[in-house]
Amino acid sequence: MPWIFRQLVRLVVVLFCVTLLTYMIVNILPGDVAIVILGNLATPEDIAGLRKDLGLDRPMLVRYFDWLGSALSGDLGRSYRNGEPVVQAILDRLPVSLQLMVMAQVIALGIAIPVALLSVRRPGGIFDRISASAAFGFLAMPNFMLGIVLIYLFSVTFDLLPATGFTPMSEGLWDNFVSMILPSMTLGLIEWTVLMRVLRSDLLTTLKEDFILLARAKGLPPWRVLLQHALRPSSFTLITILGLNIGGLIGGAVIVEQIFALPGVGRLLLGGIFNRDLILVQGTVAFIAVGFVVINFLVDMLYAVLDPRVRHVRFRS
Amino acid sequence: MSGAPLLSVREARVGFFTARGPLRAVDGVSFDLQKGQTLGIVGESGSGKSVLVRSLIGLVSESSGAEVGGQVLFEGRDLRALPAREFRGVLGRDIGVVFQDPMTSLNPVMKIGRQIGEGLRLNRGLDAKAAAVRAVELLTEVGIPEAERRAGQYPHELSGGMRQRVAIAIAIACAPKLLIADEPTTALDVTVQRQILDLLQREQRERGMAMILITHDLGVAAGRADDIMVMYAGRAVEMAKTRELFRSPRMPYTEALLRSLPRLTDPTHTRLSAIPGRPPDLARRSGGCAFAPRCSYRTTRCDEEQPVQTWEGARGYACFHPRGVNA
Repeated sequence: MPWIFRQLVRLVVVLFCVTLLTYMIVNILPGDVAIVILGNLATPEDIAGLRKDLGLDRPMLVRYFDWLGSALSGDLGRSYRNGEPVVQAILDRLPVSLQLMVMAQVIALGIAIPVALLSVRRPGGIFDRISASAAFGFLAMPNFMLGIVLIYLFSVTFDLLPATGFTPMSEGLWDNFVSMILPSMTLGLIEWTVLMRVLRSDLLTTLKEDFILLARAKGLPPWRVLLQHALRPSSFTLITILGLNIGGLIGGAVIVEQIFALPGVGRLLLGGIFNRDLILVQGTVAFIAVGFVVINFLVDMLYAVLDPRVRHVRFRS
Repeated sequence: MSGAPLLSVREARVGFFTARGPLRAVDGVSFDLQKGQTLGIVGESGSGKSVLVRSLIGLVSESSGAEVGGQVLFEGRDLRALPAREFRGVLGRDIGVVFQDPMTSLNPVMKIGRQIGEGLRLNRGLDAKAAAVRAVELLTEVGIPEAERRAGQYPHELSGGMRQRVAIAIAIACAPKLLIADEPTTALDVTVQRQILDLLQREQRERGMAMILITHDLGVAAGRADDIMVMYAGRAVEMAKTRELFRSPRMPYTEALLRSLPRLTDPTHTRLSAIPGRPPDLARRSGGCAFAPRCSYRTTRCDEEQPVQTWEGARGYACFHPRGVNA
């Protein structure tokens, strides 16, 4: 299928551009991993020696292609700083980021879909206007601020949820779930706004279609017209944005992970940047890029599931 | 006319509020439709025929800024006074609708069989299996080959004519007493138009349904409607038995429409006569007859005064200078 092939080419191109750019940018940054490791008091000879050991004395492009070669075979190298294999470092943090991502999306969709459906019952009505104002309010709020407000409300004032910290699933599913509620809410409470607005606007377009008139003419009650006839054909923009959100969160949510002290991929990346741990940054970025492209590839597949016309075009051509 | 009419419409009005001011899309239209009869509603685009009929069955909603007035009696019940749930019951069971364009009137992401069965399950209490079986029977009845396979397909996998057959199957699924066909052939190839009209007529006869056939083409209504109502600028300007209308139109607009039809008896290359001018802007109505600016019999009275409906038995017209009448 040429479509799959095109997706693969896209993946390779994206991966190449993203990793090369990161490589160059991190190299431009002042500072050196050798200095970070050895400290400010190290002699220039020690630093030069370590740089040679780490292979940092070779030209940048040589190092890049060297890295790319082993990355393609699945080896992202070892952290300059502590020798931990980068793949292992990512895999250790990934479950936390994935859980955060999934829970945030569930919250975002759980708010966005019902609110959009209720809004289009009466466009311009009370509910529609209140929900629009609420959406803009949440959208305008930076997530570090929302996170702190939530901590203040749920942890400090009412003492319902832990403020920070992460409990792994192995130490109890419930505790794990509870420790992820506030971080997920911080993301979800901002994300639902965009999802709701696009779904609302697509629903309003769909509701003008003749097949909606026909559904009403069949005597279907309004809520069945909405759920069974209008929702699915109105969900394409929603899915696209959802794909972008999920793709973005694959690499963790740097700020939220930082606020709530979650050991996710975002914090791994941030730590790597601060330590000039080029190989770790490089590997993480490559992983995030692949994740992003793969998620959007899956979203493309989802279009075909939702819309038989896409299936038709894609698999006949 | 014997017995109470199936559908009785009195002074139907539909208004919209537009950026250019209020607009009367339908302005005081009344008619009766007997059981098993066909009423053709004929008019140009924008004459208000579709809006009129959609407003009768509650598809022009007041929440979208429309203002709907008048009385609609179906089997003696005032449809507009019914509670929403009961109204939906009447709509689903007793009234079937076929829209103009089967590209847009079928849900693109739902299988055909399910779209047909949906009404049956809701209004006739069939379970999913029985509805699916009935859907296939209906598809066969409207002339779709391999009905079983087609029922599992989506609308885009069918041709335009096939899709309109599906739309008809949906409309007749619950055995309605009234079938509303809103320009059912306008979006179709000329070659299939006739087949669809014949199918509608056959179903109507076999099931004894009444039908409202909306069209901009007098030729379509000619052999199929018992009565014809001609609409212009939101008003019913003439209403008559089809034969009488064709034989001796009263309203100059009807006369002009008839003259614009091609006739087989005309010598070849005869120029079709067109009606000069264009329909009026409904947001800027004058006080007089809406057709006056395009009418060849126009007098000053036509510009100043709105003609009221004049009745000669069952036929009515709204004109100060009716044709074929020695007044």
